[in-house]
Amino acid sequence: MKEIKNQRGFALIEFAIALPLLILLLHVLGSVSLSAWKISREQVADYVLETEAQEVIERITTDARAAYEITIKKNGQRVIFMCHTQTTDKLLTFENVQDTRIYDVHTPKNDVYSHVYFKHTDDEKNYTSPITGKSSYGETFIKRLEFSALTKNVLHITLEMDNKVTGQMVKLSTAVFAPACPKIIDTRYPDND
Amino acid sequence: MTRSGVFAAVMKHQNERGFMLLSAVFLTLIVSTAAMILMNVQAKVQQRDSTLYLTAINLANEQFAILESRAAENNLTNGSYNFLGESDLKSLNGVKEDSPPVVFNIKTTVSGDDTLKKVKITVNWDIKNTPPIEFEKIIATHKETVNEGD
Repeated sequence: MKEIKNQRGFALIEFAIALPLLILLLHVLGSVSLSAWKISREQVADYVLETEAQEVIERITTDARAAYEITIKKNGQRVIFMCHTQTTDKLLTFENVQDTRIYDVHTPKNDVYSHVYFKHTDDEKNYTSPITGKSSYGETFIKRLEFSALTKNVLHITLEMDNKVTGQMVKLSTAVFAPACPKIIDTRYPDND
Repeated sequence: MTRSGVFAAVMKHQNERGFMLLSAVFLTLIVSTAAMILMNVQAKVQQRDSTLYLTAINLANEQFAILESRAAENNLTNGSYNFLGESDLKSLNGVKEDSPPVVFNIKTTVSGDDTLKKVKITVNWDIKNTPPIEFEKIIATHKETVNEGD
């Protein structure tokens, strides 16, 4: 009993000061943690947005460099690349095939947002697939994808993408030289046809 | 040490007051809060920079494309060039909605002989402490780039 009396514990005044301080600190920590979570979510979403925008530009420029015929359609929102590729059959003989690659902005029936679709057609395959808006982290959509002929064999590309999560927008503009294409056809200008 | 000396030392140790558990908890909270705030600030800065770098790379590629086109027509001469493309050099990428746009500046120098041209493009933008990005490419000049057999 004597030992218990000699032990020192919290005084009421210590507790009265420490408890509000602890509550204040926990509030600050909670706010910062929430902010950090929001920022990390936005970071991932913006990263996905940038990556998808970069991927669209890189795929289009890579195909443009290989194309021997480039046609701009649908008021500048669709581009068609005609390329030559080689395939092998079971006998391992090489065969030249015509390869058509189409990049297009399309809004699916059950969606209000537009995405970039890639349509690939050759003698063996024919498929269409979206190349943006696939990531569950990013939730991106296309605001604008426009093609134009800067010179007779330089294709200009403007891409505007938005992020549904953060509202962040990325606008990228670039151009690509198509060495194998003698003249880019833009259907908006009839004299080019 | 005598027996009384040992006893005195033990008693002194028992009377010392170290950190209380509450002090340790407070310290941890303060340090972690400060660290999280710093990390958030750093992440925001890096995000803005990466978007601006991406814009700069695409603008440089546009300049390269036009110079390649000129080289293909044997129409690329040595000298300095401004931006020859059509893209807007004012970019809102990586800036807040109410902030003024970031303005890019592109300088190009072309040197070399009649067959091979060395193209150097320097891209910078009007944000302090941002070093310019430099791109170099060797471009061959041609009169025709399409083979008749294609």
